[in-house]
Amino acid sequence: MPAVLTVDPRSGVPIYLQIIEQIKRSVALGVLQTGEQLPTVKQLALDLTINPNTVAKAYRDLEREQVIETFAGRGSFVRNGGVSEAKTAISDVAAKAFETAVRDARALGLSKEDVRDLIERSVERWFPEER
Amino acid sequence: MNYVEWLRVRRALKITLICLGALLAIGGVARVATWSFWSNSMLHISSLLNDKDSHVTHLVLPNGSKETIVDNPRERVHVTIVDNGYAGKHIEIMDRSAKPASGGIDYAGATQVRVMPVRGGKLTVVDTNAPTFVGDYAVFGAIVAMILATCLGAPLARENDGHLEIAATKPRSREFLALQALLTDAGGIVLAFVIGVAFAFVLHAIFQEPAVSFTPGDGLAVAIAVLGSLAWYAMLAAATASLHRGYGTIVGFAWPGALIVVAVALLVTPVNALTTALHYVFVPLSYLDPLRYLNLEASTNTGRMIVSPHAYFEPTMLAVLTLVYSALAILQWRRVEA
Amino acid sequence: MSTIQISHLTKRYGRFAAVDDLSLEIPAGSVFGLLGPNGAGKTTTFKCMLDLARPTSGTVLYDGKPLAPEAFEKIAYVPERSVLYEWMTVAEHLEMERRAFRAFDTKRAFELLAGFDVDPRKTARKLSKGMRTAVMAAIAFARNADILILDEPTSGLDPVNQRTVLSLIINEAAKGHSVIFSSHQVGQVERAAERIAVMDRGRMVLSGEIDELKADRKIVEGIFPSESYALDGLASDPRVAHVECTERICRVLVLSGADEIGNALAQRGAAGVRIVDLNLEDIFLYAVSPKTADADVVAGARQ
Repeated sequence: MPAVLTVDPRSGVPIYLQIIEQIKRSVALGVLQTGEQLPTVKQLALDLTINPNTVAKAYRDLEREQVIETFAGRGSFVRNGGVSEAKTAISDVAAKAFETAVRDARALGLSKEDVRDLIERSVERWFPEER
Repeated sequence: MNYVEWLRVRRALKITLICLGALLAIGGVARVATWSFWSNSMLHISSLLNDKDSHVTHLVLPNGSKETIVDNPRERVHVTIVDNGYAGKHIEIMDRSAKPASGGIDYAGATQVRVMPVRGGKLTVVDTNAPTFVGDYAVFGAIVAMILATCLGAPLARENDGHLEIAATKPRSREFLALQALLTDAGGIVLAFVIGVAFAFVLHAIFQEPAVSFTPGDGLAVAIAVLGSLAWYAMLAAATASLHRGYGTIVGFAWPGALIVVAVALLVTPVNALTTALHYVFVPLSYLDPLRYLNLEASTNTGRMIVSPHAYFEPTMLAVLTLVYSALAILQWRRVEA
Repeated sequence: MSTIQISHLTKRYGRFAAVDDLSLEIPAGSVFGLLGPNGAGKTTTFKCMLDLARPTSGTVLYDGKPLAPEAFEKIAYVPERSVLYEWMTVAEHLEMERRAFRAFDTKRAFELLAGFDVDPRKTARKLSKGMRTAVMAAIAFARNADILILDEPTSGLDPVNQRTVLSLIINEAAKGHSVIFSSHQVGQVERAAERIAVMDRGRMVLSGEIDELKADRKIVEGIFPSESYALDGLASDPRVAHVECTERICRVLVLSGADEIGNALAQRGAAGVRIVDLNLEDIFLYAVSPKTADADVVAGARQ
């Protein structure tokens, strides 16, 4: 079970939130499959060189959000239905990012038309096959 | 036992053994070089043996000893030499030509020379196996022990000097740790004394045939030597227990300082205001000085050093000083900060 | 396993207060980072925790009790400077530890030394500063202690060995042991610690969980279209820690409520309001040297 996680401790974003977001992303994109086992808290902490309680906090939150489930003595696994939870969560993140972008654009003095143009151009760029 | 302190003791003892060993080697070489010289040089015996007028007879006695009888009519000397191997030589020289001399006993180490005026001349009896007293060896043992005591002398200060974080964070009380160090060094000092005595004996045995004997006076001498070294060590430990640095200076000044205290206490008589003041300050002070109790008085009767008449006072005081200074050192170390 | 409680700890040397009224709680089994400039009192705090210095006032309690010598069986300490015996070899130091502590794992100590590339036969005199630190660290991590108190455990080490020490700290945390360590490398503390305290000139200026601090403390930046604007009342808001303004830009360090303060700025005429996340280094700098911190944030200096 490769841990395709990287965290940036120097970022202003708390590490446990980074872990949560990355695991959700992995689940949503299918990198982590349903039923797949996550690294143990200790192993992930050592791999990433971060505090194990931080990892534990992330796992607890992920369990609360029903993306993963933990069995004492066995480990943590991607939950059935965890994929949809993850996808919902990820789209929340995307939505927030959008809000911030639009808000900032407006604060910079762009008009509604300017903003729509920008969005359109981005869509074209990143979804080229859909015409 | 304190492992670190034990390593220190071991190092110091190793150096001591090397130095003493070197001295022994020199002694051995000197002995071999002067072998024949020692054997018969005394009292013109060798010249008598080679004199053409001497009648020399060799016997082997029932107990294995070799007897040599030399009779020289011209010199009117009759010599009997009994060689008991390691048990020494017994030599009787009957000199009929000598004037009646007064008697006397002389010692040269383990060799005893008795001159007795008898009817018809002078009888000289030489025993090379005269008793040698342990007390004499104890003097040398004391020197070695004192040197070691001085070298080991500031054990707690050495820990204070940048090692408290490692020395005082052990799962034992400060008192225990300090006591451990002091006891380890004490063991080393006693060991040094024994080594010194052994060395003195071996060196002596290279040149003569000592018959070692032990009397109560020797017991006291040994006690004073050992306790004196321990008290000296404990005093240095107490004087430096609170120091982080500069303890080397204290140890360095201890010897001259202690000697001066004893000298002033013993030599300055209160005749004027200054000397009275000195007297009344230094005399009590000298009671705290271990060197004061290392008193050895020579006796002219037997030619060997004996302990002063205040027989039990010295060792007792030294023991008390050892305990008091050790306690002071330990108490101080409880409060030292890193 | 012990909770460590430091209450109103003060340590004076003469009139100089190396530690001034410090109060901290370190929960059992947590990793605690102590940050601060040189001379802030971190080392003195550790000494008071270990009975190597007597507090002028205040207490340090382990599970409600003062430190007893037996407790050292379960406490490992790496001091800031080398305390090794110059004339003894590394192996002799290990033997000393083995005799003093029942739970000392000699085999593990030798493994760790090999990992740090230290030859155990060398006398301490011949070791570089980094190697001495490595030796003291190897000894501490081979102790199987419940509480590790590490004063700059990576000083003098090259980056690879620094990472090793960090991993060892995390290993201890995974075993449920408490680790209290001070470091000038904020990044290390950021990785390994859950809670921190920042000391400056003997006093504690900041403490809390790293995640909470990062979530709450932000820079709220407002760009004003005209040069005349008023920030009346903003500076007196208890959530505002620091305000730095030039003709057009205002930066407000908030301890919480970044969104609301952002709105407040907008109400006062700010056209572009953005909220800047702070990492631990920023938080630390703002706590001890706001001018430096500001310059960093302005220049976008971040490694």
